[in-house]
Amino acid sequence: MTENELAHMNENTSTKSSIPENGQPPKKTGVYLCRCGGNIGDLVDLQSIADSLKENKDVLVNIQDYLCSGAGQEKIKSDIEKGKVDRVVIGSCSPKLHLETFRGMAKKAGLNPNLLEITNIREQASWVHDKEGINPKVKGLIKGAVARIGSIEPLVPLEKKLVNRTLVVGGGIAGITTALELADAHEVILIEKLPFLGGHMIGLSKTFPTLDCSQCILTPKMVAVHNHPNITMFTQTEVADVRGSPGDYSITLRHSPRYVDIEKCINCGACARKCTTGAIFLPFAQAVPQAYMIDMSKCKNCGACVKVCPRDAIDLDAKEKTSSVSVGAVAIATGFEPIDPSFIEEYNYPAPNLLTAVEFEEMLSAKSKTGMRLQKADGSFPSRVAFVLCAGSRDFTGKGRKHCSKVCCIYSQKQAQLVRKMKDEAEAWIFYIDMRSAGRRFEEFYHHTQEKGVNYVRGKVAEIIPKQDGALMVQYEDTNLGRKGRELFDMVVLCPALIPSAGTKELADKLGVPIGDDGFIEEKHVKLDPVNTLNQSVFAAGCVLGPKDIHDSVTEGISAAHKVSQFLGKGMILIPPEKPMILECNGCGECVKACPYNALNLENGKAVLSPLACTGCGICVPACPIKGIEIRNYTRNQYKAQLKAILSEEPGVIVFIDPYAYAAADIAGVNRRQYSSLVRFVNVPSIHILDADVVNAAFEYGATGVMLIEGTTDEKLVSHSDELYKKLKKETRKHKKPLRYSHIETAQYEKLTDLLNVFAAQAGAKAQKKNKKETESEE
Amino acid sequence: MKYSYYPGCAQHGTAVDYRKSVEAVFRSLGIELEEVKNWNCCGALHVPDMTVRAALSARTLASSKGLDMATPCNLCYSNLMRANAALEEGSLKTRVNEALTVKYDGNTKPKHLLEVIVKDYGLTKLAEKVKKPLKIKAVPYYGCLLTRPENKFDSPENPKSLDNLIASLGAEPVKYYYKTKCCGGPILITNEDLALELARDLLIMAKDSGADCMVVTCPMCHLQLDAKQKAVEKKYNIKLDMPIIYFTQLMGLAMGFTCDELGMGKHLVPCDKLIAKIGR
Repeated sequence: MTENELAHMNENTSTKSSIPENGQPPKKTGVYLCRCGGNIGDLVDLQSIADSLKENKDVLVNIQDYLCSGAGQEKIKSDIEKGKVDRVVIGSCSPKLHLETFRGMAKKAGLNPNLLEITNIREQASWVHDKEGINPKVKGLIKGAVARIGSIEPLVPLEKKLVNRTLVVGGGIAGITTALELADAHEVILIEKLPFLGGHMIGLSKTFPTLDCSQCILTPKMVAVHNHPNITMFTQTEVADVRGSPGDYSITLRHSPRYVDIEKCINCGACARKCTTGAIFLPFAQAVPQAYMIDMSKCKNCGACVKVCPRDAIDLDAKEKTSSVSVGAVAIATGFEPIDPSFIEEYNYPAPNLLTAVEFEEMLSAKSKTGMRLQKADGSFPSRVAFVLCAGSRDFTGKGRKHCSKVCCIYSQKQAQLVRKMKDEAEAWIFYIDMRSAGRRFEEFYHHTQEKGVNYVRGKVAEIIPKQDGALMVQYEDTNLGRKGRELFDMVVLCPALIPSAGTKELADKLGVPIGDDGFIEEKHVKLDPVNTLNQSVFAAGCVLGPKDIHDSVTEGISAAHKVSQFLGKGMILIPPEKPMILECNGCGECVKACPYNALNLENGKAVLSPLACTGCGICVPACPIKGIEIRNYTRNQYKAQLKAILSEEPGVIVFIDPYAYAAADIAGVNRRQYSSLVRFVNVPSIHILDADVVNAAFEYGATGVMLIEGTTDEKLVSHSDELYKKLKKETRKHKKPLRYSHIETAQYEKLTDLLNVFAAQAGAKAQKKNKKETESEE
Repeated sequence: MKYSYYPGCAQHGTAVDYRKSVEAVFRSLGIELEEVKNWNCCGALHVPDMTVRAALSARTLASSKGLDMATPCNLCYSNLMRANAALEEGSLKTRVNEALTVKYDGNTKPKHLLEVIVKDYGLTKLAEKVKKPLKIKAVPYYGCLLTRPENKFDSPENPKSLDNLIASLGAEPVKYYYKTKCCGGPILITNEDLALELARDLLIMAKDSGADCMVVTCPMCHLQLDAKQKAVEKKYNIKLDMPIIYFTQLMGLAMGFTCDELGMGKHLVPCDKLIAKIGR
């Protein structure tokens, strides 16, 4: 445990959670079912479900059109306030959407929010099944929820002090904006992988639609970052490791050597003048930080630069270093990279004078190696330039990327304008599929570019053939004129698909943030929570959320800063109270060994929990040889009661699912991916809470099969999954029913539904066979 | 290694030099090619009726005796592949089999000789057979039909197998962007002007690349690029002098066969300079 964590525990932790004080049995459970317009009501016969529940005298049932509406919430609130109900089960859309809404309402009405739970009958029922089999499924799930809620303890979330410091990963325009916006109120650490700030924007020439110079508007911001007293900036630095929990992370940074001390270097250039190989250099004139660096692949280690440096700033033996920082929030702004177009074999990239748009921009930018002159490989000016859009994007063949890279239509027109401006007789051609210029000032820009005499050809380029003399032959189809054509160009610029920069997935995994099937970071809500992630202390901005222009990246940077500030401003973070309770302990230490987060320790021969280090995964539960550990509100008995009720309606397939995979099931619902209505999800904090006790109970109560679906990418858990699966398989073998384990990341919802269908069919077939056998033997 | 062998018409006609080199090289590598008895024309490019064309190939494929069927000609290869794909449709298969005495089950796998060498035999093993590495630059020219229809063997846009074969013989495959462009051979009779233009583009690109020869895998390409090269030179008033040799001849030269054993004397564009450079 870090010192920081200890301090939190001692000073700021309140562990108010406890067993109900009065110890009185619950009065009545209110079950509220939502028609959701027709979204649920059209498929599920809610009335018949309500009628069957009424047989239970301790249950009060109510059906509403829209439970989330003011009127719907008011009904529940008044029932609680009048003392009619003291436990609530809601059958509606996913808890990911409205659990907080309803729990907020319950709190206002004086009910412990924990005593309200949601059963998902929309994304995981009415949106993914047709009428067949849906009623018994929903009826079972609701009965399961009722059985469960009766024994739920009213816990109070734990509080933990937040570290008031933010790590911003990525020093492009999105990261710079986030850092600057935050820095007036909070401490910021900004790290950048490259030796200088500015990201892709510093490699741009003029920026659309105003054509102002990119470095002119960016340099002041980079200098501001450098000079800000609240920002600590590290270049050539990446995230190596993440420890701790939301609100209190200890992050290890890896610093690659620059061989020149940034603090000492005064930029005099004496070293570069002495160097015979050009190994020591300033990245470019406006680079921030303003310090030289060494390319070791060119360095001969002669030491001339070391001798000549008046400030002793050079250390040729510098090694990679690591350091550790303590932060409460992380903002991911790692941006994009262009796809390597060489996979498009018919374009023959790379070849002389065949560039990507990023290379074209750089030639005319602060980073230019040609003195900001547009030139061909032989140094001459290209008089005929072609721009080829959608190189690798909008591609559904499986070879490229499906998404539109959004900015190419406008920047290619800007580049075409620049070419026309440089030389009047220069020709610029744009080959496009659709010209997309949505948004303020962009259609005007499109119109303006046409007026500048740029040629537009609507059609995808079929082939680019480099000629011996450096010219490039472009074969294309002009779909407006309905003819094929070929043209020779001096230069061809490919506008490549913009994809998440290398390492995005690794970083996201370390921070426990899901990414989409396109590789970009998944937002908490696509429309309504665009810079939050599913991890409450991790935020994102800029192109790591999808391709976008400078304006939108800046907007997201500002938004992310606001969201971080709001998060840190509370000073405290609430953490779920569902932690292990140690009921009996013989001091064997098995749970201490099993816990991957060092949350359990032996003190005076007994296991003791550090609640703030605990993630509530439950891996300690099956580890205890005397079954002395249970997770609050996820106890074995609670699971058994829930399973018995779910399966009391009709046999089905029980699918234990963790929160990450649960999100995948929700996405499947949103996309209306149909699957078997025999599937019944049961939420687990992680699949590692399960032991043979619970799985055997599921089989005994009539499950035809059991699946464990895990979505977390936390290696500390996933590395134990195979072992768990093998153990469970062995210990549940007597039932001769199928048990399966699968890893499904949030983005893989299609894989999830395919798996569910296959498994449900297999389990069904096996059950049928078994039944037949039994009837035969009876006869 | 044993294959049933479908030589196609050219091996018994215009491309006897190809046949000579195939026989010499494959015998030396220990690859047995058993010629299909009583084989017929593959239909080349001149049978527009799908049923007839599929039936022609099906008749040949049915006589494979359960072996994979090797062929030296891109056109034959493409037709055999296309027939197999077409016969996946059950009704066509029934119709075709009604016409055949020996029925075809659709399971014979056609293989071009290049695939046999590169995939089945292996280039590492081939490199061990090289007596004298060829210090020359060569154009890998695949032609338009070797990789079409798309197959698992090589990429239809930028195939690499012949490049790799050339490299394994010690020669340098030059970067050549017209690897799979049409040579013009199939339209020589119907549109000679265009056919010569296409051949000109290929040959100029080859000449400009600084190559000593062009390596081909198809007797039709060979005919067009070798036999019609004089016509191209005359029509466009250019000098080309680009030897066109079969990949099996190139292999033979590296493996130490004499020019005579490989039929090197049959070329219309003389190979003297090339042979001298190789040192034979």
